[in-house]
Amino acid sequence: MKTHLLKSVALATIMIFTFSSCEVDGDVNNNDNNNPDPGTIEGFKDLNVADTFGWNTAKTVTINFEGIPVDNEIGRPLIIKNHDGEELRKLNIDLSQDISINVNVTTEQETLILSWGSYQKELTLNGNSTQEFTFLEPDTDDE
Amino acid sequence: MKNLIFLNIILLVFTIGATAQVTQDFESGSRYAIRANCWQMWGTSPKGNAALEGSFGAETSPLSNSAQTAVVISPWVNVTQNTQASFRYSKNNNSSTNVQIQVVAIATDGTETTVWGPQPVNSGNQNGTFNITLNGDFQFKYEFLTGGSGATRGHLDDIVIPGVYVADPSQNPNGLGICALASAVQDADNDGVADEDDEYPNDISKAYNNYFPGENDLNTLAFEDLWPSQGDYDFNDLVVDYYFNEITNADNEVVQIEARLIVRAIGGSQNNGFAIQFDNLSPSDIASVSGQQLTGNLFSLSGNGTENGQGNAVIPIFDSAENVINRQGGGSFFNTIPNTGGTGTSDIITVIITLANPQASVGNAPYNPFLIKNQERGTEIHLADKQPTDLADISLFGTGQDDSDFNLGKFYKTENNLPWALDINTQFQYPTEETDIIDAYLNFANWALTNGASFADWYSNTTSGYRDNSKIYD
Repeated sequence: MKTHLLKSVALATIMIFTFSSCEVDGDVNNNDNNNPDPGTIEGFKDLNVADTFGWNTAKTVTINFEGIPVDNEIGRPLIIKNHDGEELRKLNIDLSQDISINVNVTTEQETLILSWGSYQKELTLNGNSTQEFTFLEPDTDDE
Repeated sequence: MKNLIFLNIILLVFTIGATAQVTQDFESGSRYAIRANCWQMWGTSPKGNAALEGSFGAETSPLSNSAQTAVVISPWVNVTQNTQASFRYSKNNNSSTNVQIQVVAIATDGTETTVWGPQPVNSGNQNGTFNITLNGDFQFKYEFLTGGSGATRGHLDDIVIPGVYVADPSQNPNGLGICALASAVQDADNDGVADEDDEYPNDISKAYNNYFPGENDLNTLAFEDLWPSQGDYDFNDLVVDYYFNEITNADNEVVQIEARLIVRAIGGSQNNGFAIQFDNLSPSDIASVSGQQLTGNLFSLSGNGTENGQGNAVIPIFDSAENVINRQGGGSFFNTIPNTGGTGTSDIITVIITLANPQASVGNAPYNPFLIKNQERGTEIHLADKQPTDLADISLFGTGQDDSDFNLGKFYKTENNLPWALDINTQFQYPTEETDIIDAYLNFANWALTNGASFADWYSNTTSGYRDNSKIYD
């Protein structure tokens, strides 16, 4: 009897660990509201979403722009465009300036294009709400 | 004549950033940063072991043949004669024969004039000084020369050129330091933004347009209008397209907001109004509002166009959607039932909100837009988790299916966290009348159930399987 009880406890423990390890981690598939499979939902009212979900199709990205020291602080527009080439923001800055910029972009936006004078560079959005950016490239040993 | 007065041609160097001495000590340690400041480095790099003072100096590649290019070229400098320039130079060993250094002045027409040297380069820290005998804009080329093979590297440091920096770091193609000479600029309104960059060249208070979602794009607000009760979730009870333009000044502060709104659909019988709350502006931050479409008594306006009785700035846009559409046919539905008479066109509503003082930020567009239900001023319907205004009837919260909780900052959501309004980042093609949005947009449910992680583009029409077009009003 005692052996049988121990076997049952061991089996239950294994099952708990097995099912625990099958849980999807992170927020991506945080289905803590016990939602049914989307295919079985008959209407909008059947949805049960996380209270943290904002129903947003846009997001605000903060770009921390790191300037490059130059002797002639000429003000020119820093232009931020989306991948379709639409201008989103335009700011008057000199190249030396460090500045923090908020930009509204669609949630599926993966890149932005920043330009200032003859400089142009793509910023890849990595999913973080804050992005670091500089026109300064890392030095290489060529030439 | 007035134009002539405004045609103040001002050399940028005299207005900003002018220096009486142009120097390079290579202490940034970054060739790219040095080039960004319009210094060219060809066959040379900043190195710690080349420092003749400080922590960094410029080191050449091995000076192995006479064709070797090993130069540092200064930015454009406006010099005057009878001033003295200086620099330090050296070499790391005696492997290469006849290592020399010279300084060449480059005129704007490309003419080169040797102004110092060539002088032999010896080991040890040496000083080079020379008198400037020129007047005008020049670049100075510090050039190492060698007569034969070897592996000697030249060192250069602490360049000082008396004069004014007149290069334009904004015109530096590929960041190689080959900058243009700063040119005279026209700035008619003297706001510090050159006319060529200024979208309002004759208005000192304005410089740039900042559109959201874009100058040629529209986003859509889609409302269900039965709050606090749930409806049919076709999200077409009121459909409003919008774009906003935040007009900023030379200091990047917002001075005016242009809102462009179009009512595309009315999928119900309620006579709804529409307004926008700016959550971080007070009524006194607004100087004036123009373009509001108000004919009734739904809103009480103060002299500056904001709604009376509000702590935040609330801008009524229209008090009845009926007044901003042009029906072709009768009935209460408008552009939601295909192949019926309830169609028509819409006015483009352009509202100009002028701020009393420039603001660093006015929030993110579309700010806090809301519907006022059926002429009942206290019944507001906002986007999920957007705060009601001070005039909202708080007795309605928590009734019907509303599960708002002021303490948690939860507003306009059901117990299952479902909203009554959506802000869609495209010109939304809304469902037909009484079509549940998840039947029209086949990935909408997946998007919601994954907290937005999957199918963030659920509204797109670029891939098959996203829509049931028969259930979308076209």
